[in-house]
Amino acid sequence: MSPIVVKRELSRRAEKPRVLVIGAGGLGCPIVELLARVHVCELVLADGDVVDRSNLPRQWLYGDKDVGKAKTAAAAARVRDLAPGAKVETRGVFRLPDRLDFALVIDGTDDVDFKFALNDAAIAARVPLVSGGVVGLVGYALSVRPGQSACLRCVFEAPTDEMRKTCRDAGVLAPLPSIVGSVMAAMAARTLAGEAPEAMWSIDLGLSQARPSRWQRRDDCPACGRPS
Amino acid sequence: MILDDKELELFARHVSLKEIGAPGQARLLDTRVFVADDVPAREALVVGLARSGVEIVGDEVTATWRVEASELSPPGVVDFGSGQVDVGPFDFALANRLEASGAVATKERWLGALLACEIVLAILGHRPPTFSLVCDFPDYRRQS
Ligand SMILES: [Zn+2]
Repeated sequence: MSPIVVKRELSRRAEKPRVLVIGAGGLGCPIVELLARVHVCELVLADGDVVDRSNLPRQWLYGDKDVGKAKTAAAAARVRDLAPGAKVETRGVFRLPDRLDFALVIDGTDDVDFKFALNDAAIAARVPLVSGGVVGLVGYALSVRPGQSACLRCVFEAPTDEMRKTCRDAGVLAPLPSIVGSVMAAMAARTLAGEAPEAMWSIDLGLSQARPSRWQRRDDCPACGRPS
Repeated sequence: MILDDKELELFARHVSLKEIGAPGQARLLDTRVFVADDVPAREALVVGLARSGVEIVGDEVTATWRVEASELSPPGVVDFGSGQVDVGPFDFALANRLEASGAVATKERWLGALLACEIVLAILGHRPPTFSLVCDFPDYRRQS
């Protein structure tokens, strides 16, 4: 890996923003590693699963020796090796926190109902959210700035049967979550740096295409629309 | 070549993916790739290929696929097998903005994982023998 250059003011800031990453799977692994490597925030990683052998092809923080261990503990240990000095707090549960007391929340889960619930909670708490998903050969990343950019419900309205397909049913190409996770990490770093990243980015490896797309906030969105 | 129980468990998400399946995974496990030192985003590319079941070999003689940076149009032209993948120049203005916001590490991970996906799909015959990729982080498209 080539040297990593970090903006000085951001990485030397005494009080680093706290970022909640929910899900330590295919998306969560690259997100937490990349954000830790650039020292732009303190990380809180939440997941209730243990490492399964079938996770290893796409969850690159884990090895054979981690099978059966809690994902959060294994991920945090590996990240501290890769990024000495990085602060990674762990929570061994997979649920919506009571208080979203964070500078940013990142959704790396594959549970579509949870994604919508987290979207609504982030909008209500006015906390920026980076959401993403992968299945098969496709994936997306969405940056939500509450009140400013489109939210998950502005784009997808509500969960559909198609969206309920998971990697468990439909499979996934092993390196794909790392592609989407890298884009999510970039969106997160740019949000923390005060930039406004592209709202939505999607990839379709079947078509060999990836591109950003613009979405307008919907006035009638049940989560972020203006009350009439 | 048939997958054994351990391989079926490890590669369960590939086996259930219609573009790979058990025969495709067996083909990946039977593939030996040599990746030259100067290939861009080599570290993530090698991890992506190895985690997909492909064997990474250190010499070109035993390799069934070769990935190397082209001398013709640097930076970022990758040849492999009989095909050629042109990963094109990065959008340096965007990369610099990302660097300023502390996210430059993501660029390499993105490119390495993307090349790993494209090479896996090429090994499985889902790509024409010769094609090129134009990559502008975080976007790309194939040109055939
Ligand atoms: Zn909305």
